[in-house]
Amino acid sequence: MPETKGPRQTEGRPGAHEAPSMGSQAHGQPGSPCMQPGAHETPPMGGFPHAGDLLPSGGRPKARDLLKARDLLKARALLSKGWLTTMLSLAIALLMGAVFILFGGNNPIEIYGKLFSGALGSRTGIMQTLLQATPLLFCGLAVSVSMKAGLLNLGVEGQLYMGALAAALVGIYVKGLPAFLHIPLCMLFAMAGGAAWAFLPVWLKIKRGTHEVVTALMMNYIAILFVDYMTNYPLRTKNATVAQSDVLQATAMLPKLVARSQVTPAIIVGMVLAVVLWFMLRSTTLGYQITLVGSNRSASAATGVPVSRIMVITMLISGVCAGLAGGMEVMGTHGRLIQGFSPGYGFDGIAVAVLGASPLSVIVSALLFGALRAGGMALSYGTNMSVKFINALQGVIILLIAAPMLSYRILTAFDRPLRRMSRKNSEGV
Amino acid sequence: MDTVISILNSTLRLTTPIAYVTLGAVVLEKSGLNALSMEGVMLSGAFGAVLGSWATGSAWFGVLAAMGCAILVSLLRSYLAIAHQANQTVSGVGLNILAGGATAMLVKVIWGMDGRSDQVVALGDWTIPYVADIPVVGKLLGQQNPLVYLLVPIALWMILLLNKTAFGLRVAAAGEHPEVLSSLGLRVSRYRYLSTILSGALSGLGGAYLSIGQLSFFNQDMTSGRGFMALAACVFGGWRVGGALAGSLLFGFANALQLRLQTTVRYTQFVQMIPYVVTLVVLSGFIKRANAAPAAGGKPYQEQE
Repeated sequence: MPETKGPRQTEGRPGAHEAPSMGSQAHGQPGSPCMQPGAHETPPMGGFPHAGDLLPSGGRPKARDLLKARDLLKARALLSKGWLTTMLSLAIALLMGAVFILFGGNNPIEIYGKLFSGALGSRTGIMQTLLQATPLLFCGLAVSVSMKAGLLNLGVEGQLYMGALAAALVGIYVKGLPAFLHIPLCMLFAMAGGAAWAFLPVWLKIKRGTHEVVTALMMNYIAILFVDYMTNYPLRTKNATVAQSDVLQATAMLPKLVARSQVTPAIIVGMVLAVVLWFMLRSTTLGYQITLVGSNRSASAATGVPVSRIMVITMLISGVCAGLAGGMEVMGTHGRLIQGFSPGYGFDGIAVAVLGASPLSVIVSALLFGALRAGGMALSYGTNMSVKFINALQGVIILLIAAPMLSYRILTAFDRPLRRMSRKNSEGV
Repeated sequence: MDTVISILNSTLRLTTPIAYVTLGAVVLEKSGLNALSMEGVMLSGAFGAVLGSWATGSAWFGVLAAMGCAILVSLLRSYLAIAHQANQTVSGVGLNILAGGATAMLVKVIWGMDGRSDQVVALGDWTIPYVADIPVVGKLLGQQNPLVYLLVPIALWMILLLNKTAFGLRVAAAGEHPEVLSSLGLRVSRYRYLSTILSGALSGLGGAYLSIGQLSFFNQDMTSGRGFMALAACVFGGWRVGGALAGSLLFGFANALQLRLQTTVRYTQFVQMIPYVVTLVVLSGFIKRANAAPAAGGKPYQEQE
């Protein structure tokens, strides 16, 4: 029975007739199958119910109602800024994480304290945070760029491995180059390795309509296995107990940024890359076309944007970022190619990208997740929590941000009682 | 001959978990929700099975717990997608990450080990009295895990349910033309939720087979892409139960071949790639032919009032 719908019916319906400036109509549905750029930047679907909805129909509005309506409007104006929804999702995720911790028989305050001090409480902690943030930054940028064009590059992990492999090959076998040539050459090959691995998923999507998420994931497994093979047989260094390659030539190694730590200028390269991508997306034709393809594929095709070409280019840029993530790890942190060296940075990149909508905010969210990862490592000592807690937290964050309506409804949960109250008031007149 | 039998035997064993999840993927996709979350749902099923078996000491309670866990987890994602118009691709991926992290974390909390649970009571094999004595067939079908046998009636029931009952047609309508369902006065979300529950239960069985059927413990990320293979099998089969099962048989065979070759080949990494390469080939080779994808799949639906 369609008529039996409960209280939900009374809720502000998508206000097609009002608040067009909120922009949600122009951006299509938040849940449409193709991702749109920064889904959480725009207010949730349907815009925000107008404050006038809250006023009693008929009869003169009372001053008290008006006041409340104004507060609501204010709250909504705040919420329409993307970062507030993001912060709210983050807060809810941390709260749910606290429940997780309680379930494990631990004190949430103690665990979060440990997480915090492990990440930022000491010099080692801060260095570890920066070290972890570096690959996360590159991977976050990789996923973020792909999402701008409505693609979801889940192959970052595999592209990272292929970039690392390419950088390692050049770093080990090319000899006699000065460092100022050798390092860029390694980086170039890392980019090429990542981009090459990113090509097939998007090509298959265009040619055969295959969902890029599944193909890219399969490519991950293949890349990881291939690097396993390379580190176990052809590249394997002698007398090592673990499968790893020889050390790179000294000329291919990144210098240390801070003494007595493994932090390298890679993190600065990542930040520069973020700024470049931000500028590209914001102020160039290519960036504009990418965002256009991301928001509406068929409409941009109708306006003459070469959709397929833009999709391929975006995916290649994404692959370049991912390849650099791996290359930088090899040239900086490890100095060699090690079997299974990435603890899933590529997948962490999804959370980083989803939380930071634009390349610039990806820097912040990469630092945040770097801190979480560094703190999570500290959890392994003295508690029965593991670093996997961070993964669970990431999952919750992604789920919450994927459903902006949920955070919105939580924040406006007080709407309904308020509305009921105002209705009562009007009846009293 | 022995080699052939052993490959066929392991094909049967390796197909079973994928087949259950494939059935789940078919129902879910048919109702208009995409099945990218199957990996996480299957993993929670595998975890629930070990948890249930460990807590009660009975493997069959483990199977029930697996179904329960998987249903809860898949409902979470469907709730976000249906009631809050969450982007299905992102929320599916988020669910997989959440399931991977939460199960690994709970393993540490409950059993105190990193990434691996204690041994629990596993499902014992069933021996079929007379069939077991038949020479070749007996070796294949005479003694297997109960979940292998259960697959047959469940698959037949699924075919009937999806093709011959009002429920099945309504599920298909929810995925093809939700407006039609609405215009009949039926709620689309109801059928999507029901499909989610059914799909969760089926994937839970697949997960349970993985953890307490084949093994007797939970290993972190033990599904290793099988949820996505199930999705690929569903595409391979053109969103039909029979075809999808054939697809999962293909993946089961690829896995069996891979396991078999690992013992004889030196560079096992290349052999291990086989199932993933098969997935790639299947997806890229068949998807154009199969434009049977539910028309409204992956799109949120606003209930018409």
